[in-house]
Amino acid sequence: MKADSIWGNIFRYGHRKESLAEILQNVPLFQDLTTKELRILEGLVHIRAYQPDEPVFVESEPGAGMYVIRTGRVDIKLKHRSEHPLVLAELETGDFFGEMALLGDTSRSATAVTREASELIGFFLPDLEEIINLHPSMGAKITFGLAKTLADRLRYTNAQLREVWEIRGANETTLG
Amino acid sequence: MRPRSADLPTRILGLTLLLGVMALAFLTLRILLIPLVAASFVAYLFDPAVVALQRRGMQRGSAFGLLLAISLIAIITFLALAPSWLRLESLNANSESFTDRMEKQFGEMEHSISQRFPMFQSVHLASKVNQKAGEFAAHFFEGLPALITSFTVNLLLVPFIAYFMVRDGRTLRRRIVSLVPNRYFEMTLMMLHRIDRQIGGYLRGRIIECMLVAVTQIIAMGIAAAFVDQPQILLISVVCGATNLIPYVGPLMGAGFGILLYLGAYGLPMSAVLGLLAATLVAHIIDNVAIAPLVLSHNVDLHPLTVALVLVIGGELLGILGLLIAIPVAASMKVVAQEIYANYQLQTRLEE
Repeated sequence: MKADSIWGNIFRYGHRKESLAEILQNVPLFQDLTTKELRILEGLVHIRAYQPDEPVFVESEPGAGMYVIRTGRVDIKLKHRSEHPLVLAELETGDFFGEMALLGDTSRSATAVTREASELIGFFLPDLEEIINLHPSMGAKITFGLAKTLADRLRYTNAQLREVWEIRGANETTLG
Repeated sequence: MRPRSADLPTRILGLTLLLGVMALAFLTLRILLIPLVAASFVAYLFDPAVVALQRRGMQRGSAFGLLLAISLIAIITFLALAPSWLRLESLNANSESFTDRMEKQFGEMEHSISQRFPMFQSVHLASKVNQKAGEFAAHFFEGLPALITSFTVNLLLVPFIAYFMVRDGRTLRRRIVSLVPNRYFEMTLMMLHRIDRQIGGYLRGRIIECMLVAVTQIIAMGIAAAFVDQPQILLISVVCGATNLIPYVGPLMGAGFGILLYLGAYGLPMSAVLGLLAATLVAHIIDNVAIAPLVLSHNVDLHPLTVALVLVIGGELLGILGLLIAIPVAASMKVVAQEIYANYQLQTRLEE
């Protein structure tokens, strides 16, 4: 069947954006949610549009929650002794960041800046509290997902620290 | 280039329009302030129960409607089934009868005082107090129909506004937050969330406190009624509960209302007034010792001078109802100011 046949046109949605639910379902925090719960989440998240090179949040400022990239790209940067900040990660559609702020009054540990015009989905502490209050089982799934994500990040950081120690130990042995 | 003076008519027109809009906004606010504030009290009071019903799958609007209907039925049932000593009685009083009874009461009081303490014979308490009471009564009975009309209109308007506040309040807040620029978005969202929580806790606490004070007053006056004549227990207790919203002078105002009612409208002896005062004192002590510490988790302390100023402004702008809402409104404004300051401090600390 040719791509532009009548059936192709009827069932084709064109170059549409992925629906909110589709994007959110791929985020580890929300992957255990049912279709109904994802629909509730859709009604609670905030859609924000950003210009290229616009800061989403700034290191050391108080944080309110996390973002999922719907379209566009975002750089996560860290202040550094040199003139240029250290780019920790380059994130794109479907990636998420800033989830540590969902745990309470903490400051942002890095700066997030859009690389191009982007649309982000914001999910914040008041939204999480509302879910826990109104839909406790859904709240439990999200907080468990958050705990798993943070545990994964901790495991990854431990592995990196171990590598650094091993490299340092090897260097000291060579020098000694 | 066009000269600057060519813009003058446009500027004048713009300024006039702006002033007109501001005047209209002020008038609307003045008319709608009391129902809006009262509706927000009702919305905050019902919110925990609305959330509990929402958990069971009910919509916020329907949940509020159901709770309001249950409350109304409960109040009507209570009024219908209440024991005879608690029922509301019709009040048959006017400015003249009120003044006559007050004159008689104070004349007797002065006579008794001058017999026991002859040095007070030249004071002529009765004529002075009676003149003031007469002026007050004339003013009160003149304003009574307007007060009753405004109260009835508000009684119908408040649940209507509260319904929409409960149903659409969160959506409205989301819409407002969505208009905030990206740079201030997170800060605004968190600040509104904290303010909502603080004000909700404070207002719920105060309203529940007032209800419990009214119940305590009913019980205390019921006990006093076993010894002395105590009519209109329900009316006086509800007024005492409402005036309890006003710190320091609230209980005095409630008792004052009861005393004027007993002396002026009923012509009761001093023993009834003493019974009422004793009941009010007991209710006030129980409030301070047991009710307030238990109920007020989010206490917002206002300086006595602030209380006095706020009461004067509230009374001047909106009369008796203004007095009642002045303190909760001022306390809510203090919470907003505290949150903005706390947010500023946190930001400064983190930037250092």
